[in-house]
Amino acid sequence: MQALIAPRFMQNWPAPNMNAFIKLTLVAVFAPLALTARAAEELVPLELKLPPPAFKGTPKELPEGMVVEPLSDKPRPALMVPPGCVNLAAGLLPSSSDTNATAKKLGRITDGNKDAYEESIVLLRKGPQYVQFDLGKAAELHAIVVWHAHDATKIYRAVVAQVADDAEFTKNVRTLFNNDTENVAGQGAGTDRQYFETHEGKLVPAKGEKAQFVRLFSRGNTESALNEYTEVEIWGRPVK
Amino acid sequence: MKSWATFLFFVALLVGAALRLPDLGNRPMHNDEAVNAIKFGALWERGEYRYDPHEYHGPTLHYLTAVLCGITGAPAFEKLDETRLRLISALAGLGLILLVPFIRDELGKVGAAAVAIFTAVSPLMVFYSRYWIHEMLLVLFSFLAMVAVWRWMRKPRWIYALVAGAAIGLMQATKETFVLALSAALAGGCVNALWTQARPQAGTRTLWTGRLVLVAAAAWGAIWLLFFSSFFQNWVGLMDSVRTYEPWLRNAGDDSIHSQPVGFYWERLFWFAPKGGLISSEALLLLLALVGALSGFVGNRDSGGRTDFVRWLAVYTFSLATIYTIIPYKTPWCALGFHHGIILLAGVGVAVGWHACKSFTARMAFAFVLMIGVAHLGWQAWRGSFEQISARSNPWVYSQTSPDLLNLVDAVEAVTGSGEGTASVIQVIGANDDYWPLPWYLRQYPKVGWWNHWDRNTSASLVIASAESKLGLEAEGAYRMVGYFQLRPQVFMELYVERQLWERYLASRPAPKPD
Repeated sequence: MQALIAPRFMQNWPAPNMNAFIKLTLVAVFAPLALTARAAEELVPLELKLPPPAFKGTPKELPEGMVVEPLSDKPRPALMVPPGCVNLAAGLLPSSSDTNATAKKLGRITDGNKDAYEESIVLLRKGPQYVQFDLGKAAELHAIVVWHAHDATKIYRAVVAQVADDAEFTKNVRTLFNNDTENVAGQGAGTDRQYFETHEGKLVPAKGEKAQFVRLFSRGNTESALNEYTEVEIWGRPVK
Repeated sequence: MKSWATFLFFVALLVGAALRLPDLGNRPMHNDEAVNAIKFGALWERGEYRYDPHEYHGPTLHYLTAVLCGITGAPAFEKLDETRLRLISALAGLGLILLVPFIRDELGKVGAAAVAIFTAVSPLMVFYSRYWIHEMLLVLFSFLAMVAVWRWMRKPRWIYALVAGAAIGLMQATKETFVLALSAALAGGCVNALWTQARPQAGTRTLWTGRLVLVAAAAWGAIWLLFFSSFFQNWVGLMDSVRTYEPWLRNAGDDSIHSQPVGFYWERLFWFAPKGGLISSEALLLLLALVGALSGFVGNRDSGGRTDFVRWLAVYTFSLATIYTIIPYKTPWCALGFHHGIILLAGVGVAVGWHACKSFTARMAFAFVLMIGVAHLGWQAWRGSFEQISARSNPWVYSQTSPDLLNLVDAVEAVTGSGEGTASVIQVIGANDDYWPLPWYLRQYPKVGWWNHWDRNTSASLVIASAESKLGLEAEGAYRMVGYFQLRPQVFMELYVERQLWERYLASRPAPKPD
C-alpha cells in the first residue's frame, strides 16, 4: 500500500495500521456472507423427547389425618406482640357477603370454639365470599388468626385479609395477606402461598396497622366449592 | 315365568338401568381407570394391544370397549369421554339381571324375581357398574358360566357346553383371579357330589359326556387363543397368560400396600359406619343368604328350585368369600364375585321365606318388609353413585380421585390458552410416579412429559408437581406457584406457571364482577 501514490490531500494523513485494515476488510467482506449462509439454513423447532407416563398400580388408600406433604411437627413459633393485646373479635357479630348467612350462624365464628366438628363450622355459599368485622373503633392490630375448617386436609383458595378505616373498604385499605393468584376476589392478584389448614389456624401478622374494619375473603377449597369458617381471632389493643 | 314374576323382572331391569346408565361421567377417573384408558388408547388409535403379565389385567375390557366404541361411532381417543368407556361396565351390570331368567329353574320363580331386584339395587353392584375396571365383566362371565353349566346339567346340549367353555375363557381373558372363582366352583361341585353320594336323590344325573367336555374345552381354548394372542398379533401373550401368576401371587402377599385386615370386605358390605356419616349396609342380603344357604342342607325346602344348585351355590359363595377374606391383598371391588353369590342365595332365602308364609297376611307382611329393605338398598345405591361419588363415607370409594383435580385440568387449559395451547410443553412430576389420572386428562397435549423428579433441561411452560416433591420452583425465579390441587384425599399437586405466561393469562382474564 505504501508503494501506491497517495492523493495529495492524503499525504499528510497518519500512516494506516495495515494489520487492522486487513482484518477490517476481511470482516467487511465475509461477515455478510456468513450471515446470509445462516439465514439460508432453515430453522426448525427443537423437538424434545419427553418421557411417557409410567404405569402406577392402585394407589394406597391413606388413613384420614395423614398428610403426604408433612406439615411441621413443631408448633408455630409465637408471634411477638406488644403487651396488652386482646382478642378484639371475641363475641363480635361479623357480617358477610353471603346474605343467606344468619346472625346466629355468623356468631359461631367468634364464639371461641375452634374444634373441627361440624357444629362449629359455618358454611357460606360458593364463589368468592367474605366475612367482615367491625371493631367499634380503630384499634392497633397485631395479628389476625383464621380457622377455616380443619376437619380434613384441605387448602382454601383466594384467602385475602384486609383492614380499612370504613365499612365499605374504600378508605385506607391495606392488604395483609393475599394468596388469590388469579384475582377471583377482585382485590388484586396475590403472591402469598397457599397453605394447608391445621388446628393452629392461619396467623396473619398485622404489624400494628390501625384500622376499625377487618375483612377476610375466600373462595372454596380443595374439597368443596363452599366457604367455611370455624373461628376468627383479631389480636390488638386500643389506639393510644 | 308367571306374569307377576315377569313384571318384577322388568321392574328390576328398569331400576337397574336407571341406577347404572345416567350421568356415567359424574365422577373423575380413578387411577386404575385412567391407566387402562391410556392402554386402550393404543388399541383404539392404532389397533395395538399386548397382554402384559405384570399389569393391566386381561384384554376383554379393552377389546369389548373397542367393539362398543366401534358400534357407537366413538371419536378419536383424545375426544373420548368417561361415559363412553364406562358404558361397557354398566351394560355388564345390566347383563347380570338379563341372565337371571336363564337360571329360574335353579332358583325358582320367586327366587329369580328376588335375585333380579337385589342385583338391580345392590349398592356395591351399582357402584362398580359405573367403574371402567375388569371386575364387573368378570362377574358377568362367571354368572354366564354358571348358567351355562347348570343348563348343561339339565340338558346335555352342545350349545350349553360351548357357552360354558367360552364363558370360562372370557373369565380368564378378563382377570387372572378367575382361578379363584373356578376353584370355588370346583369346591362346590365336590361337596355336592359327596352330598349326593351320601343321599342319593331321584332325578340327579351326571351329564359330563366326553364329547361335550371337548366342545367346552375347545371353546375355552379358542377364546384364550384369540384374546391373549391379541387376535394373532402377539403369540408371546399366550405364554404370558400363564407366566402372569408369578407376579400376581407376589402381589397377593402380606407386604402389599393393599394388605387389609380380615374384616375389610365384611365391614364395607354389612356395617360401614363412617365418623359423622350415615351407616351403609347390605345386611338384609346376608341375612336372606344365610337362610337360603341353609335350605340347601337342612329342612324340606319347597321353593320351586333345585336343592343341589343351592347347595353348590352355598359352597361356592362361602369358598370364594373365604379365599378373598384370607388373601391379605384387598381392594373393595374384589368383593363383587362372592357378593353376587350372596345375592343369588338371598333370592333363594326370599323363596324359602315366601313359601314358609302360609297365609295371605303373612305373605303380605313379608313382602312389605322386603319392599322396605329393597327401597333402602336402592336409596343407598343412588346415594353412593350420585351423591357421595367420591366421599370417604361411601364404603366403595377407595383411593378415588378428588373432584378438585378437574379444577387443575381447567386451570391448565385456561392458562395454556394464553400461550401455545395444546402445543404447550408441560412437565408433570409425581413422587413415585403418582400423577394418575392426569395422563388421561392431559391426553390432548402431545408435549407432556412424565417424571418422578425435576428435569431443569425441559423448558416447560407449566410444571405440575406432587406437593410431596417439595419442588419450591418459585425460588428459581422463572415460575409462579399458582395453587395446590387435590389429587386424592391427603395427596396434593402444585401448579407452577412460567412467570410471563402467568402475567399474560392474568391480563387476559375479565375483571371479577362485584358480588
